[in-house]
Amino acid sequence: MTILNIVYFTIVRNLRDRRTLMQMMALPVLMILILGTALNSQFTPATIGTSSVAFLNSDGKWASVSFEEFLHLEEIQELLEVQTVNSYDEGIELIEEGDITALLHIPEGYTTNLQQGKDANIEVVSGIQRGFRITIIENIVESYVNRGNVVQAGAMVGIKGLAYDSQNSLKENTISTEGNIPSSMDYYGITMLVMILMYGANYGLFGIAEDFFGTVGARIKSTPISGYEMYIGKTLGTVLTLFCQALIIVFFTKYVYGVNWGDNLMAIFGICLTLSFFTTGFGIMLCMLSPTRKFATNIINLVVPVFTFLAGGYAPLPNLGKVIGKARYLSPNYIGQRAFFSYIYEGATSNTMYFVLFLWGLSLLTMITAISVGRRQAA
Amino acid sequence: MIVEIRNLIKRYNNNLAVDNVSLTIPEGDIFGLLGPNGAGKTTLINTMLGLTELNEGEIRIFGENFRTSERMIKQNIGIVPQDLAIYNELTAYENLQFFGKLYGLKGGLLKERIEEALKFTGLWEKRKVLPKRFSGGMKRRLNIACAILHRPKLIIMDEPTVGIDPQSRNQILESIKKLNEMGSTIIYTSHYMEEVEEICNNITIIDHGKVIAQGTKDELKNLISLEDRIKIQLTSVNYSLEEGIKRVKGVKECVLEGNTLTVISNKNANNLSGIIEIINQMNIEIQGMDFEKPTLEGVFLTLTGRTLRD
Ligand SMILES: Nc1ncnc2c1ncn2[C@@H]1O[C@H](COP(=O)(O)OP(=O)(O)OP(=O)(O)O)[C@@H](O)[C@H]1O
Ligand SMILES: [Mg+2]
Repeated sequence: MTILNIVYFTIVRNLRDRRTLMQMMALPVLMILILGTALNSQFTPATIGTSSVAFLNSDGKWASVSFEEFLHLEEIQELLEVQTVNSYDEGIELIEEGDITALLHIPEGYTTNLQQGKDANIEVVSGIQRGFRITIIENIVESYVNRGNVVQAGAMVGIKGLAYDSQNSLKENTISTEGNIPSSMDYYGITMLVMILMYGANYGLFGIAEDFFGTVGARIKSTPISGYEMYIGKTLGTVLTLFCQALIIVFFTKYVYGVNWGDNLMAIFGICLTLSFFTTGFGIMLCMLSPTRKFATNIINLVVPVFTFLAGGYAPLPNLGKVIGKARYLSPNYIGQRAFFSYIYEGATSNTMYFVLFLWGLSLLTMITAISVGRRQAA
Repeated sequence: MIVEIRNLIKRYNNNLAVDNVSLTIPEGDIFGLLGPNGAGKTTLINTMLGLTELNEGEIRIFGENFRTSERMIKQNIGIVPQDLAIYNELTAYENLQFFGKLYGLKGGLLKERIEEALKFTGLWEKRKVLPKRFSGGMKRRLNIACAILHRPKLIIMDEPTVGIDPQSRNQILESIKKLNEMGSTIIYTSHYMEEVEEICNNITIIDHGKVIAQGTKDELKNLISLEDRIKIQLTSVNYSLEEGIKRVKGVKECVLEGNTLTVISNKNANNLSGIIEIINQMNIEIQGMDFEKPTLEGVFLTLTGRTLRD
């Protein structure tokens, strides 16, 4: 009960802080509109260009040859630049060097499996960094497999004349890629939401600074409630404040700007909640580690734009090669953004879970740091 | 005894903020803790509340110590911190709701106590107003209201009247007396002599973390009734004045504050003409002269050679 009291009044106080509230709500809404409109051209499918892939055929029988032919269709070559490799390792090496996006691999026994009605798959191997390109590639392969299976099934039951119809397949393909690429509005809807949640660390910072070190803190510490009740209450209150703000931004951008948040909003809210926890913990930790409150605020205001930039939050960064590509993972924004993008656009739920779990890990880390540092300072 | 402190020592690095302080506070008292800025009053209070770790010594409140009875002790103390400890984003009423719940009050009882505390401090009409629209005095009163709604046995007030107008101050002093009549023991910290003199019974004077005098108001004044105090207003002053006067027969202490010279002499020293002679020699005109009755200010001056507001 005491904790609920603290949670409730923490939220009330946060929401009465009009200036911060305005900033938290108005800033992303404006930024999404401005960036989403101004940088629109960067996102039209025309600029996607071709993606480089490697092709390895370990099967060599007729079914795999038919895929090879498919890759050489003119329409496909507009989307994929294919180079043939001789071994799996060679393909992986190319991925690691950033020369290609993916390796398309037809494993041994592909044709045989197909003939026997067993599972026959074409592997799409990519690096851990999943981008839009990999989505496109997967879609192309998928469209072939779906189509090819029909052809194959037909052939097996003896239907003639069911040849591969490139026209048909490509139309399908184009539709699916378009649906799977965020428009600039969609893109900034996500990056700006993540950015503002990161700025939300300020709520964590102020809540804790005031109650733990400020004058009110002395009063609170002299009441019979324990420090951890206060800490939990404060944290939950701040998290819920941020979470509500995130919900409002999601709904606003969804219905006013038409931002694509996917078809399962519960999952989106789950990610929002995760991020709210992380930024609250981040703010609290900074507060405990900083010599003064002002210092901690400055750190947040300095570090969030850097994180956002690194994550491509203001503008998608061009392909920067291996080192900088990895450096993006230093930005919590990037991880947050990846959680959203992987869920909405890549249908890669397991990746999303991975990013979300990673953020929970980080949250835990910040909170543990905060608590242990806080203990030391209190003594 | 509601509070017993024995040989308390608190150091901040090499700074002895509380230097071997012992004191006892009887139940039902308005206990004055008097000392100039930096004397160690707030530090002493913070150690009593467990907000600051003590280095040595022992504190017992309600006969118990913090290690065994922290909750019970805290539940029965109300603290009015020196710096305002109220939320500016919550109305007066909500502030009390929040802190009341931290003391375990709820439901009808909470409402009752909030109303009681707000009426007591004269803020009931303003209950829906945010403190940022309050005057300094009103904020101070809210700061007090937050400390009394759970009807604590012991109320600790750390300079509750700092920086407010005389009218609000009188109101606060009156309410402290009333709280005491209603059964609370009060620890009242101040560097205003007059306040402590007006409301306190037992008084401890500390300076540089040390107790320099302890006793009832009258006992303390008796300390200096063996002296004469003269305040002389001058038109101008000069550097060697103090030195000169200290050399006059029977003068124990002499302090210059602005154009006012305070001279403390042994009782019946009969040295007034000697003092005036020194002033004349320096071509300074005398504007007025007072012979003072003993006050706590005088006690402090005698004991430390400084005025409280140095
Ligand atoms: N947190 C702290 N860290 C280091 N030194 C401190 C700290 N708090 C107080 N001090 C020092 O301890 C001494 C006593 O300070 P304290 O605040 O207790 O005095 P006070 O009597 O309450 O003064 P005031 O009338 O100004 O409130 C001072 O010398 C002060 O500088
Ligand atoms: Mg003080």
